[in-house]
This record gives sequence, structure tokens and C-alpha cells, in this order.
Amino acid sequence: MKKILLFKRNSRLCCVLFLQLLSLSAMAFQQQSVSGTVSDAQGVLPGVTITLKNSTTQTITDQNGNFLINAQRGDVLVFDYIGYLTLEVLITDPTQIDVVMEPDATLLDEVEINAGYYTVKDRERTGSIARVTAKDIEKQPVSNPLAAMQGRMAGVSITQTTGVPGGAFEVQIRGKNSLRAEGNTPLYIVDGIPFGSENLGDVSISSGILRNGLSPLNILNPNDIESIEVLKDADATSIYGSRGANGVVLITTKKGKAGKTKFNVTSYTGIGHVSRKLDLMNTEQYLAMREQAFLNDGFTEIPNYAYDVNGTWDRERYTDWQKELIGGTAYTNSIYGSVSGGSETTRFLIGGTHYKETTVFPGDFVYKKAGVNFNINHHSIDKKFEVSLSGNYTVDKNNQMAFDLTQQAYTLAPNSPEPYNEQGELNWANSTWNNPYAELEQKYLAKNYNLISNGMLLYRPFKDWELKASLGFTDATLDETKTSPHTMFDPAYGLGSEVSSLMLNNARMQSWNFEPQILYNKEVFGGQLKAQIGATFQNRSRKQSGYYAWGFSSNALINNLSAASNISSRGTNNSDYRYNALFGRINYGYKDKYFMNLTGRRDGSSRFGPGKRFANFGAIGAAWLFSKEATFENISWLSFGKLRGSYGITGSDLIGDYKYMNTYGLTGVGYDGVMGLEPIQLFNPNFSWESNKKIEGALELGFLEDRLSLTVAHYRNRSSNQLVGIPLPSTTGFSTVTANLDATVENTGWEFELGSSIIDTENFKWNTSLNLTMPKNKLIAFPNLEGSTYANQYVIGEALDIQRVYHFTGLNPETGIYEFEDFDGDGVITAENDREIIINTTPEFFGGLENNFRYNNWELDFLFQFVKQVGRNYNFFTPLPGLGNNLPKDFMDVWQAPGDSNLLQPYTVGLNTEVSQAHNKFKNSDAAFGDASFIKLKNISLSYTLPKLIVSADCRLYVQAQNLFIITGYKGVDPEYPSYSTLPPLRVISIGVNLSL
Amino acid sequence: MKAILDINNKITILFGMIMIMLLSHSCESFVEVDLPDSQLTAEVVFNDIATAEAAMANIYSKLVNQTLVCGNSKGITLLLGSYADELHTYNTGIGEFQFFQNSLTAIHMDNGAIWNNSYNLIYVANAIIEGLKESPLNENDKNRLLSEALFIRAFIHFYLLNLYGDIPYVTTTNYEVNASIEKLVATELYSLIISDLEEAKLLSLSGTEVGSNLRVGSNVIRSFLARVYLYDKQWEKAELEASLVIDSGTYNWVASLEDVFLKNSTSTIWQLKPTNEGVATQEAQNFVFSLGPPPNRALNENLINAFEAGDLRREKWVGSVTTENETWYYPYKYKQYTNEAISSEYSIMIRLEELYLIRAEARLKQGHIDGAKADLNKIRNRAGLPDVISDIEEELLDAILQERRIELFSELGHRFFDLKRTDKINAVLSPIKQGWNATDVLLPIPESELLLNPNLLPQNPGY
Repeated sequence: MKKILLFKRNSRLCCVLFLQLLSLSAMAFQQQSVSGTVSDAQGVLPGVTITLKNSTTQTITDQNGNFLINAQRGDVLVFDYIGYLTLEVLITDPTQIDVVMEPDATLLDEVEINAGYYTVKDRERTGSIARVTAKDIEKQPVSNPLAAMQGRMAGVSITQTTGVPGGAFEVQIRGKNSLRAEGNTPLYIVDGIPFGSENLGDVSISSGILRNGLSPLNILNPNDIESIEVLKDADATSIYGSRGANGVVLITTKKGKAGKTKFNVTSYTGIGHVSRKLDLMNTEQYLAMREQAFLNDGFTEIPNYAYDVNGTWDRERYTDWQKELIGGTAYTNSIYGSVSGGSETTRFLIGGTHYKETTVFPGDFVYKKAGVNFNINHHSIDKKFEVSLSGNYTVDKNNQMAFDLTQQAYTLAPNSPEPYNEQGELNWANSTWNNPYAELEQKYLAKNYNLISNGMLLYRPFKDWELKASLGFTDATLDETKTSPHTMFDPAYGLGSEVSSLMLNNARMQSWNFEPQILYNKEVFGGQLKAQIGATFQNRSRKQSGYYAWGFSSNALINNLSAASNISSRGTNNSDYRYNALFGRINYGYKDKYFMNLTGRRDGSSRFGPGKRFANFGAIGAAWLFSKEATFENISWLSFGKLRGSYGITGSDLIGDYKYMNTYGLTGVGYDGVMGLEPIQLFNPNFSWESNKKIEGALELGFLEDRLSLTVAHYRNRSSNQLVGIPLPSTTGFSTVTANLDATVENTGWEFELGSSIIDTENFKWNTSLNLTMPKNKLIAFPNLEGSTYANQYVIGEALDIQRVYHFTGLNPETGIYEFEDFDGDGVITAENDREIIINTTPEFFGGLENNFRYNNWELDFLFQFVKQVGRNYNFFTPLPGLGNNLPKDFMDVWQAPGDSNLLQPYTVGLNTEVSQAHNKFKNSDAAFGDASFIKLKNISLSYTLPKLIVSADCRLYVQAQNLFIITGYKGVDPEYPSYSTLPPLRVISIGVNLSL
Repeated sequence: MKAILDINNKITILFGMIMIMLLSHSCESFVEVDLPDSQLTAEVVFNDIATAEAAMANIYSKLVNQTLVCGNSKGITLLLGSYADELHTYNTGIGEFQFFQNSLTAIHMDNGAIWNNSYNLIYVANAIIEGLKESPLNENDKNRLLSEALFIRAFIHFYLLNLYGDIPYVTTTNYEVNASIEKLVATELYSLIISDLEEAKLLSLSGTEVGSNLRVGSNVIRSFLARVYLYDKQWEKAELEASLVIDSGTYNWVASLEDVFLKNSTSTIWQLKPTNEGVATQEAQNFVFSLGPPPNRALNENLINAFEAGDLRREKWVGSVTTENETWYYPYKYKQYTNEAISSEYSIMIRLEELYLIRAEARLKQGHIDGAKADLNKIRNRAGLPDVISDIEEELLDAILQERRIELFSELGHRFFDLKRTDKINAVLSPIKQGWNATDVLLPIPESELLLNPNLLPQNPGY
């Protein structure tokens, strides 16, 4: 048995260790020096481990691939190098041994997938894991890693909610599981350390510009990332227990590789624009609308306050506000450099990055990000001991105006006055308008300081056993300010810097994470058994305090809190979160054909009340590589075939801290010298874990020597015991209370991944891959839905992303008023009884099509992202036609006289109650929704690698574009995130260079 | 070799044991966290007078800053002023404009905010009432705080009743009860409001009196009771409560119009201090402007025209801005409109003049013509106006309402409520307000409330 083991490659590590134990005293006699050189087809190999067989004598090759070892004729030397076939050489000529090592073809082929607590060979995995690697991430001129994942992974839906740097993304892995919007966030893990994806921002400071909040992941640098794995099914996520319900995103940073020291620099510069505009009315059309509106409402003359129409403003003036307010160019610059290398035992990587992005809004605003990262790992020559340390420190500074002017760009009257007068001052046109350029005076500044560090110690006491401990520490600080100088106000108020104000938010989140583990790996009963057990201790403390200060002697001092004549606290919000778990895994692979994976976790969280804190989670996964069965081995066109499936339970504790307690907090506002204390929430001491049962089955096939590959997966996730903020009427004093709801949400779906290497010749290669997800989201149980406060929000059997709306039946040609279907036939259209149409905004399907062409030194990549969905259109976003807001040209088709068959109601300035009430219903009817499907050329990248003849280094030049164009029939701006008030994601075109030597 | 193995074994066993100890340290105690320093549990709050006072301070600061009686765009001083015929809104981009146009809908933000902030404050009051029940504080302090909280509960419900008609009367913090609570009709609501106020009055009289007019003491409660009885047409009681306050000796008539709104004014029964010293009242900040046309709002010309010739209040309490060809007016009762070192004015909730007007009306309704006239003339004379001469009840009632309109203009929606409770609102507003409908006497209940709690149906007519 031992003899067999010695020659099994995949057990060689164990063998070495085992041998060492047995032969510590077996010292060789009569040794002499043997020297030589190790190389491969490309050249010398530094860092190769050379072991004298049956001894502990070891050495490694130096920079030039040379080695020297004590041995004698007849001994066997074992050459070991990661990624290469292990070589055994019998010493015949002791003076000089030159060895050429062969790369391990199967190893190169075997992609190792990071599954968090363990890695698994892609072919052998039992779980569902999607992946993007640096190769794809690097092709995209983006600052947020989430942007680089869009469209590339089946089952992963990522939506960019704004084009403003630092803004939020919506991420959903296999659909919405929770009835709470914030309960659908996946768990993010960076190099094994949970990354606090909670937003530290203060909404009242940032919401003007970052309407949907900040994206904490923006602090990570796409350039630092080696791979991003998304764990989707129970088999992959159950080991994360209570935090795995919404999937897990594993981010792995780049590590150094053994070999000669490598320098790598990559830099690009890009320009960004808003790519889609609305076709709005011009001045003439706009004024015609306004005049008609006043006429319709019975005005005999234009009232004194209608400055746009009554001649106060120049009726001939026209400004394209889209061009003025969001039509600028955002310049992007990025540079990343790294040095990496090391020997077989010690490897390192040090990198640094700088990124800068300006804005399409008027004014000088810029987002900057700079960071350093390093990674060192070392193992002892006998590989009994390993240690690694990595760290990443990034600082960013997001300087924006405090208000997103996108809505103004669409709605401002086209004959609005000049924003600035001849003196270059804000023009208030005698107080007749709210000058949007005044918003440029208000500034938003966010500074993030983010440290992620982790260390890992590993010890192999004897064969088959590993003891491992990882310790991580993260520290995220956010300093946010909003300054509002008095110059933003109309001078008619007669205000000075005594009203200039500063809002401040200082937040810090620190966490440590400690995970000891024992791993066991042994061949038993002819199969490979891998087992591990570990514990997690995590502590996270969060401190947040806000101030509002006003009254400055001069606006020059506005950033200085102590210069304010009044400072009031906006409250302090500190919280502690503790998390403790015990987890384990047993994996058994038999004959490289049958695999079984059992995972489990017992979790405890401080977010629940006493007696409700612990819960158990677990999963079973299995895979069968049927293509290795004799029956299939003869089928020449089928190169790979695997069936896999999994079932298990995960959970979610994304509810915020202390919700089970009846607490009071400081309001930050006092009265007559006493600071106020207010009840923070409605409390419920009895809520507990939400559970999510996941089941999946998948078939993976490879044809024609894997030139064509296909994966089909079907999943069903059921989330029950829903932990929700149950919406309550305000008569309760609050709008929600946290409680478990006996409702079940089901997500089912099909995922298809097709990969193909269509052409594969020496000079020309064409690879293509397609991913397609067809998700379905359904509320399957909700006892007493009718009697609950969700009665008007959800419907059993329908998706969570539904809207109950009126059915718009058209315009009454006689009255010119919109009409809606009276479902209950009571003669009145009421919100309670007549919103019977259900609109589902869950995408019907989405996916991406990637193509990669390679011709000699040229490489072309492009990615189309496509989504089929229904979304809100401009009928929802536009204000009542006739008010002093500009509208798309389509809104000119209005009813005028009985018998007209136009589409829209007559204009009103708001006095026609019938029209304005019908308009409100119209906005809440099926007419305000429409097809929001789109195909986006998400990314295109063309690169050319200079021949070595020109430069000695590897030099690659490239042109890249993000969101280059969009094909859609959507009525509105950007169907990716239907909105009227947020800047759409920009089209960015960049050119860059990558140097590596 | 055996020995070496043994050593290795020992290290491993030791290491292994440490690991097992760590692994098995999965226990309840690790996941227990202390409350952070920024929060207190409810029991702790009411165990100590200082924190209990802080809970009460929260109520007052909410009244100043966001509840419907505040002087900013969330409050009825502005919103009802524009809704009726006191103010003219010029800024079409603010929610107040729909109030001005009388074109509210059930999804109007500011209307929703009135409702939500009111019930939130009622919750806070109820939480204090419940917290004090178990509290070990001394009876004097407890009674005083209880009295204030009961008053606030009645005070807010009173306004909601007069804005929305039938509403629920919330007396517990239990969300299971409040989530499906039903509406009550006006008579039931008045009796609950009165019973809360009467209890508050008794508690206030039995506890330690609050030392200043910055908080609610027995005279504030009596004054407000007088108003409630007036609205509920219980004339005798209205007169009685008003008289008790007027004759209490605590307040003195202020002879000069210019001094009425100063923070030291002796006629002020209840006023709210701005959050920070030196800050101008929200009312002044929102009313006063220095260049025309008015950026947000100005006094409605109907109100300007309603002043009798020679009325000193027209001169002292109204400010104006004139450009080449137009003049605009603004309420100038509160004069400090920017921040200074020390605030010279606070926001007045109830003042002595209103009690004279309440008593005048209550006396008139009981047939005490002379008494009514005496009270009315007290107001008129200070404004430089002659005595009323009529003895006819109808005419006198109109004179009182006219006096209320002028004396209390741009204060807390008095004009709207007076027109409404005397059933004159449609006759007065229809001819002068293009968007006015008879159904506009009630504001719409926010649509989200009706969807979340069908017991609040039906919606008020017209929405």
C-alpha cells in the first residue's frame, strides 16, 4: 500500500510528510554533491523543490535554475514544481544533472475553483459556482468590481443604479428571496474575510447625488482581483449557513507566482458620456402646452406667477438642458502597477493603483481612488508549515455636487433663464426660478479609508492532517460631508454665511474574524476522503455619528466644524454584532467518478433575542462523472459528462442589530437645553432565523474534446419564515416592525451555459460563450395575506416584484379623461378594489453573449448583455402635463374636443381635479409600464500585443468600451434601471497599454 | 525514532486539543452583546428623571421642527395659510403649491407627512405614558410628565380631527392593535380628547407645576380646553376655562403690538423655543423676504384688504417689499428672521388674546352680549380700532370672526379652522379660490394608510 502511495502524484505531499516522519533518523552515508540545472521548454526554472527520495534532504533551484544537493550515484531525486509533472531522476552521473520538466497538462486543464473554505477541481465540484477571472475583469474600464461581473454569470443579476461614481448596484443571485429589499444582499468575502457590504453612508447627506446609496464594493480595485466566484446552490452556500441564503461572492486577490520577478503596469484613459437622450419639446411646443393648460383651466389671462409663459422669461429662448446639465464628458484615468515573484517557497506581490473619474455634470467634480495591496506567502521546504499575509489599503475621495441634476435636465422649461448673468453670478431672474446651477454650490464629499488584512497559518503535524487558522481584520472609515453655503440661495432671501451649513457623517466599521480549522484528507476504501471542521468567531463594531453645523463667519471656513457658530448632533449610532459558528464538511470522491459533499454549520448571531440565537444549516451535494463509465468512454464525441445535484438549507440574518429590544436613542436635537431621547423602533423580542431551502440539479457536458461545452442547471429555492419589516400604517407610530412571517417565496429557474471554441488554429482562435438565465419568482404561501398589511402589495402565486395597478382602458373621447376598468363594478375607481392588474418586473430572462477572437497578436472581445423585462416607462416618471415642466415630445398628442381620439388627457396646471386625479391613476396603471428589454454592448475590447522584436517586454495596446450602445424599444432613458432622477450609466471609451517584463 | 514520533505526537495532541477547545467554544455568551452607548432600554429611560425628561424633550423638539404645529413647510401655519385665503404661494415647485391650488391628492407628500409625523408623536406620547406606569420616579414628577404626555396626545388628535374628520384615537403603543385600528366619529373623538385633557389638568394640578411657558402646565391645558370646548360648542365650559386662565394672574395684557411676539411677552401662555439659541423662529424664516417677487409665498391680497382702516396691526404685523410696479406683503409678527446670538422670539402656540376671543364667542353664544363685547373690544382697542357698537348676535359673531382673522392671521391655521367650524368655508373660499371644492374641507387620508389598514376606509369624499 505504501509503495503504491509513493507514486501517486496527487498524494505526493502526504508521502513526503509521511516519509519524513518515518525516516527522520535515516541519515544517508557517504554523501557527495550533485549539481544541475532545471528548465522547461521556455527556459530555466527557479524555485523547483528537489528531494532526495526516502530522505528529508531537500533543496530548491536558484534564480538560474541551478541546484546543489548531497546525494550519490544510484539515489533518486524527486523534482517538484507547481503546475508541472513531478519528475524522478535516477542519478547516473553525479556531477551534472540537467532536467527538463514538463507542464502538467491535466493540471492546466483542471481549473481549481475557490469554494471559500476549500477549493475544488472544476470537474469534480458538486455545487453550483460561477466565476469570472482577471482576464475578463481587465477588459473593462470600470471602477467597481460589480460592474465587471455584469452579464457574465448565469443566475447573477447585477444592475447599475446610477452613472455617478461610487453609486449603488443591485445584486441578486438567483432572485429575490426576502420580502425586504435589503434582505437580498449576498455575502461578500474578500480573501476569506467577510467584507462589510453594509452601507455606512448617511442618506440625508448622500441621497441628493447617490439616490440609491453608496456601493461599499467600489473601494475594491478591479485590477487587484484574480477571480470572483459566486456560490449559488445549497452545496456551495450551506457552509456559510445563516449568511448564505442570498448567495456568496468570493473575491480573490492576485498572488505572486514563483519565478523571475515580474513587473506589470497597465494604464488607460477614457471618456464617458450619457448615451441616450430623451426627445423633449422645444420652446414653441412647450409654451403652446402651457398656454393651453391655462386656457383649459379657465384662466382668461396668464397669471402673474407663470413666468415661463407670461413673458417674464424670454419666450424665444431655447436651451437644451440635457446637454447643459448632463451632457458633459467624464474623463477617466487609471493606472495599476505591480511587482511579483519569489521562489517556490516564498512568493510575493506588491501592487498599487490610482483611478480618477470626472463627471458629466457641469462643474469640476472628481472621484479619485488610490490603493496599495500586498501578498506574501511562504511554506517551509518540507511543506509542513505555511504562512501567508495579505493586505489591501485603499482610499477614495468622491467629490460631487450634492444633487443629481438629471431630473432637472428632463423637466426644466426650455425657455428657463440663463443660469449665469454677465458677471458670472447665478442668475435668479428676479426670483422667478429655482436655478439648478445653485446646486453646484452644494458639495458632497465622501472619503473612504478601507483596510482589509488577513493572515493564515497552516501546520501539517503528520500525514493527512492539517491545522489551519486564519485571522482577518478589516477597518472601514467613511467621512462624508455636505456643504451648503448661503450662495446657493436666492439673494432675495437676504441671507449671508450665517445660514451656510455643513452636514457631517463619520462612520467606522471594524471587524475581526478568527477561523481555526482542522482538515483531514485520506484515501479510504479506494476513494478520497476530505473532511474539515472549523469554527468562526466574528466581531464587528460600528460607530457612526453625525453633526449639523451652521453659521459660519465666512464660507471659506465651511469645511471646518469648529468654525460654525452652531453645532448640533445628528445622533450617534453605535452597534456591535457578534457571530459565532461551527462548521464542517465531508467530501468523498470514489474512483474519480462519484463525489459526495456534505456540509453543515451551526450559527449563532447577536441579532436575535435570547433563546433565538442559534440555528443549524446544512446541505448534501453529489456528482457523477458518467463519462468515465465504460458505457460512455467509447462515445468519441462525448468528452465529458457529469450529473450533479444538491439539497440543503441556508439562512439569513440581514435585519440590523438590536431589533429585538425596546430601546431609546438620542435624537441629536434638544429642547430647552435637554437632549431628546426617542423610541427607535417598534420592537419584537420573538423573531428568529429566516430559512432558505435550496435544491438543484445540473447536467454538464463536453463534446469533441471539450471544444463545445454545455451546462444546464435547474434550481428551486424556497425561502420561508420570512424575516421582514412588516409594513404598518403610520397609526402605529412607525412604518415597520421586524417579525417572522409565515410566508414562503420560491425562486426557480433554468440556467444555461454554452461554451465553444469554434476555431482553434495556431494563428486564429474564436471562442464564444453564452449564458442564459430564465428565473421565476413566486410567492407560494402567505397565510392571511388578505388580512395583512401586505394585502395590496403581494399576490399569492405571483412574483415579489409586482405592482398592482389599474387597468387603463383608454381616453374617453367625449370627456377627454382617462378611464380605468372598474373591476368591482361599484362605479368608482378606488386604490383598494380596482388595482387588479398585476405587473411583474422580474426579468423574464437575462444573460450575456461573449466572443473572443484572436488573430496573431490581435485580440477582440465583446460582450452583449441582454435582459427581457417589463419596467416603468416615462408615463410614470413624467409630471402632470401642463405644469411648468418640460416633457417628451410624445406628450403633445392631447385631447382637445369631444370626439378626438388622441392618446392623452388635456393639459392642466393642476386645477382640473378630474384630470389630475385621473393622471395619478394613469401613473399607477398598466399604461405606466412597458417593455424595458434591452441588448447592450456591455463591453468591447480590442488589443494588440507588440511583437517582441520591437520591445523586449510584453506590451499590449488596447481600446475598450463599456455600454457602447443599446438596442431597446423602451420609452424612457435607460431600461437597465428605469428612472428619471438618476444619471444613467455612462458610455465609456478608453485606450490603454499594458506592459509586463 | 520512536521518541521523535512521541514528541511529534505530543505537539500534535496539544495543538489538536487547543483547536478542539476553540471549536467547541461555540456558545451563547460569545454572541451576547451589550447595548451600545448610543441607546438605552425603555425601562432604563423611565428609571431616572433626567432620561425621562429627555424623552419628553423629544416631544417638544418634534413639535418645533416637524409636527404639524411647526412653522416650516411641514406645518399648518404655512400649509393651511395657503390652503385657505391667508397666503399666496408663488413657488410652484414646493408641495405647498398644491395646498394653495386646493388640488391635493391622497398621495401628496406633505399631507402624508402631517399624518405620519402626528401619529409618530402620538406613539411617543403613549410610550411615555406606558413607561411612567412602571416607573419608580416620585409621584410629583410622574404626574407632571404624565400630564404633558396626555396633553400632547389630545392636542395632536384634535388637529387631526379637524383636518381629516373621522380618525382613529390611538392610546397604546401596541402595534398589533394600532395596525388595524378603526376610525371614530367626531363626537367620540371630542369626548376622548376632553377626557385626556381633563385628566391631564388634574395631574398637572396635583404634580409640580412646570416653571416656564416653554412647557405644558395647567394653564396651557386649560387654555387648550377652552379652545376644544369652543369647537365642540360647549360654550359654558369654554368660557369657564378661558376665565380661569385670564384671571389666574399669571398673564398680563401687553399694551404694545410690537411686544406681543417677543419671547418675554407676558401674554404668552405657551411657546416653543427654537432648537438652538440664536436661531430665528421657523415662522420668520419662512415668511420674511427682502426682494420681489416673493420666492415662496406672500400674504394673500384678500387678507390685506380685510384689515379695517386704521388698524395698527396692518402697520406693525405686516411687512412689505416693493419693486417698480408691485408690492408684496408678508406676515411680520415674528421679526427676527436670521440667526443671531440670542433668539428674541419663540414660536407661540397659545396666547392670551385667543382666550379673550374664545370667551367673547362663548359669552355671545350664551347671550352675554356685554361680556362678549368687552372681550372683543379689548382686542380692538389695542389695535387702535373703536369699540364694536352692534348688539345683534349675528353681527357680533361676524365681528368676532373678523377679529380672529386679523388678530390670529398666519398663526397655526386658525383662519381655516374658524371658517370650517362656523360652516362659512365654502361661501368664503369658493368665489376667491379657483380650485376650491366643497369636499376640500377635509384633507385626504394618505393612500398608503388606506391600503395598509382597510379599517380606515372610506377615503374622505372628493379624493
